[in-house]
Amino acid sequence: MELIFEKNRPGAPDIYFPDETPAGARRADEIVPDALRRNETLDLPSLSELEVVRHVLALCRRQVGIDSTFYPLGSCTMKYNPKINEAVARWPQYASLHPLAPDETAQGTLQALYELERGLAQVTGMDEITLNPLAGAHGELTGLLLIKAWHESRGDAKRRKILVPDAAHGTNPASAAIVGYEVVTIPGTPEGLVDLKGLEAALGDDVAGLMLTNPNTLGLFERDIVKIAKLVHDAGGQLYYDGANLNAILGVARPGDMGFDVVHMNLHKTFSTPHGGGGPGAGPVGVKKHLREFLPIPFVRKDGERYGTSEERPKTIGRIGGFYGNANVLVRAYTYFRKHGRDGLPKVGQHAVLNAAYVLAKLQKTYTRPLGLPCMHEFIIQPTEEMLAKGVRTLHIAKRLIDYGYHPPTIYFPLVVKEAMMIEPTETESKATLDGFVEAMEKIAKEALENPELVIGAPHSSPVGKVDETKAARQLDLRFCACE
Amino acid sequence: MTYIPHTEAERSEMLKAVGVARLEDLFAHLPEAVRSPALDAPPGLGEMELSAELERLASKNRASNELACFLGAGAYDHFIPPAVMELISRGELYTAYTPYQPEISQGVLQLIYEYQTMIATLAGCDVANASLYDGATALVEGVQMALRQTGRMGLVLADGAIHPHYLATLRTNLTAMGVKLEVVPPDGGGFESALGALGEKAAAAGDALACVAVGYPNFYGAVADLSKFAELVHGAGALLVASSNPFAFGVLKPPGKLGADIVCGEAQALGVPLQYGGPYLGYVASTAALVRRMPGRLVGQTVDVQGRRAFTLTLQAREQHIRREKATSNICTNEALCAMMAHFYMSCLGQRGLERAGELCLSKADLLRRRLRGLAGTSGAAIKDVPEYAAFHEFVVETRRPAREVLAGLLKKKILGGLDLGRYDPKRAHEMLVCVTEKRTAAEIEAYVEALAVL
Repeated sequence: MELIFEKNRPGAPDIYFPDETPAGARRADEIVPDALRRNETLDLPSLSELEVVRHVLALCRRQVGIDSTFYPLGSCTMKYNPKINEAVARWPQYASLHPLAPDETAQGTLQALYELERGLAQVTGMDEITLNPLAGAHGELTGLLLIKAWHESRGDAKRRKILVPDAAHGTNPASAAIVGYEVVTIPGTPEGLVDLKGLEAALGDDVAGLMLTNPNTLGLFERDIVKIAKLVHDAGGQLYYDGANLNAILGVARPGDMGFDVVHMNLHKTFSTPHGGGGPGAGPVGVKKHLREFLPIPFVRKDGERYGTSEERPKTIGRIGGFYGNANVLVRAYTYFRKHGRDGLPKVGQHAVLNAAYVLAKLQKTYTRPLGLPCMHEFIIQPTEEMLAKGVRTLHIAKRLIDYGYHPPTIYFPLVVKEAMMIEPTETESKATLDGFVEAMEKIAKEALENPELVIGAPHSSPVGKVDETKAARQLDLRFCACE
Repeated sequence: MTYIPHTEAERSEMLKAVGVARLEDLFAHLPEAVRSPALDAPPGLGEMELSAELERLASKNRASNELACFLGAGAYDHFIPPAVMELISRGELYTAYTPYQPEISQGVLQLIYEYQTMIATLAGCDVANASLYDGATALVEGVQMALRQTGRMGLVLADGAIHPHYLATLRTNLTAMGVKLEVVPPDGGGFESALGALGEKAAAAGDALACVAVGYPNFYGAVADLSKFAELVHGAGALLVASSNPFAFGVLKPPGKLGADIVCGEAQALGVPLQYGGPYLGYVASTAALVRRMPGRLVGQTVDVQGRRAFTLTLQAREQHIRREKATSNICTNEALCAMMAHFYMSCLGQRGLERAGELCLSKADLLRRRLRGLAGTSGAAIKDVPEYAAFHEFVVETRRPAREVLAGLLKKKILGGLDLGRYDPKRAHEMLVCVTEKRTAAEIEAYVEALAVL
């Protein structure tokens, strides 16, 4: 498809601003010295608004979201993004509020943020929440800075290592490295859980903490979590909860009760705020009491019936972003929180697991199930030996799903399982949708044996076919240039 | 109340297929000790009541739809064409995940590629990434690029006239990394970046110095020609990082054309609403030589199996999901949706519209500035002085009474008058930062002047 720059019609009239200089004002060229004026043209398109709208809608036809189709992307929690969240966030009282506006003009938003904090503390079993982190990885960075500050406050400067399971998300080690920690990978058991002996061997007085997801990245609940917490704490370390999989236990079990000291949440997963094609997210962090004084600034406090912002936290790790978190993402999450309330939230976790267990029960008849423990909100399957013998691999099955109108699951993650397909249906999908997906997967399984070329060559129906990623990386083209 | 669609019959059938009797049985393998107690939270609501509840809260805000906003300081109240909000409401876009499956993600991928082009051209750079969190974290990422590129981990010099929140964020991160940060404030309590002092320190720093970061326009709205300064920084073997509002580059020469190696900052002004500080739009652009040091996602153009134009995420070997602890950054989720909003904004306005908006900002800010300067010293006026320096759409006003009191008086007249600089520096308690965008009307500007004549 044409780029917007290739539709350029230089000189298309502007419809937004007056031509005249305001009465009594000087012209721009009388104000800015010539040396500082842009005197080159920009590669910005010049089109009518209608042409822009049509360009974008043409691109929408080459894009799928949750609103278009079932999106069982494991580890990403692609649940329905309720429309009321979006409507509320666009009301001018929320959307047009300046971040440095006096507290007295922001009482509604501040109350929402304050109550969201309290709600997230309840759901996670933590003592205090900061809403500052702007995404999950940002929450990880924040949590690790808190752990570091706590160790240092105790005069314990020798803890240079962070333990991470071999199946962890890549952000875990990347975040630890930014904080200056050495990353030590600990092995898993054949069952898919943390190897307690391996953990014990890795623990010592040089370990700052362990980062863990629970359910873990294989979709399995770490049943020894209380023992793991004790081992880590006895060795003087801190236990970090990566909230990527919180949806599985929402309202059912709490990281705080498992012994975690720091928790981050991905509100763009668990609390239904849209993924936006890659962001924005929100990654609030919860902590136990002993870490409270190190939390980043600013924070919201309540004084009688008034809400205010404050930076008075003498031992804070400091600021971690421009203002106070992705506030309008937080307003969406608050809307979701109030919608569900104390009775609705536990149903989310329960049905997220029910939907996953149901699809697994069906698919394990046609695909290989590598792990035997009960599944939580997501599960891993693999192509069978017969399919692999025909040359059909996970990538092919994923791409063939596109022809059936579905977004593929997460593939080749976690790295520790060969040919992994990780499927997370989420609780907002109906039985009819799940049945349709199962049926498509069964058809693909049959095709893989009877007509493998059909599967291997997929997708056949998408706007573009398989994309040459090697060329993209070797002949780097990251922007349009009119000069060519 | 939930968004779970199951009927009672469907639930029973599904439980049966799984082989359990009740929902609770799905969690039978969890230890008793970790089971959640009943949540201490309000009961759930139907959407009718929910909407009323959120409206009740909204009515406690007094936002820029109600107040005339002369407050900027890193967040700007510009006119956003309704088409931008209309387009960003497309479910295909905002409910999509990161475009890891290019076959069904060409929409987002092409939009981001086009956005990268627009930001790079605006910043005067070769390349731009697919977005970062916000202006503060973009400065951190920009500085980290310089640290990696130079291999110098000893010192980062920063202009004290960069947004104080960005400097604070940079300090948080550099402290954790063990890199020294030295901040050089403007000379003599002024408002222009101390390029002279920064240059001297850079020249004296030797091999330790990775980069110098400057604001352009800086926190106080001041702009200065960076080209000679850039030569000096390069002469010291360091890189120049400019923390910038790209909206200004419709009319101003961008840092990339003045010798900056890395241009980063906050692009909220390009079509993203104020929304109490987030989500905003961090961006980073640089010379081609630095592309492999770029943090976060990059979209590249390529072809599909049939040779048709196609787009895909590229150079992923820099990123955390491949490189883990050796990645250029830990960033994963970025601000793609805000990047698309900026795309729609820039596409609708085009070069002419962006220039025109910038010119109106300059003219209107200059108008208010001169009117206020005319008031300075007149009896009864709140204004002591309006210092002279080259500025974009923000400037400092010195007040007779504490700025806090002056701003409170303006708020009573439904004017969000600016930022009390005493918030960051007690010595500046009689100074306020005032911003005038193209959106401010002649009547609002007049009301501002009238109010200050008698406050």
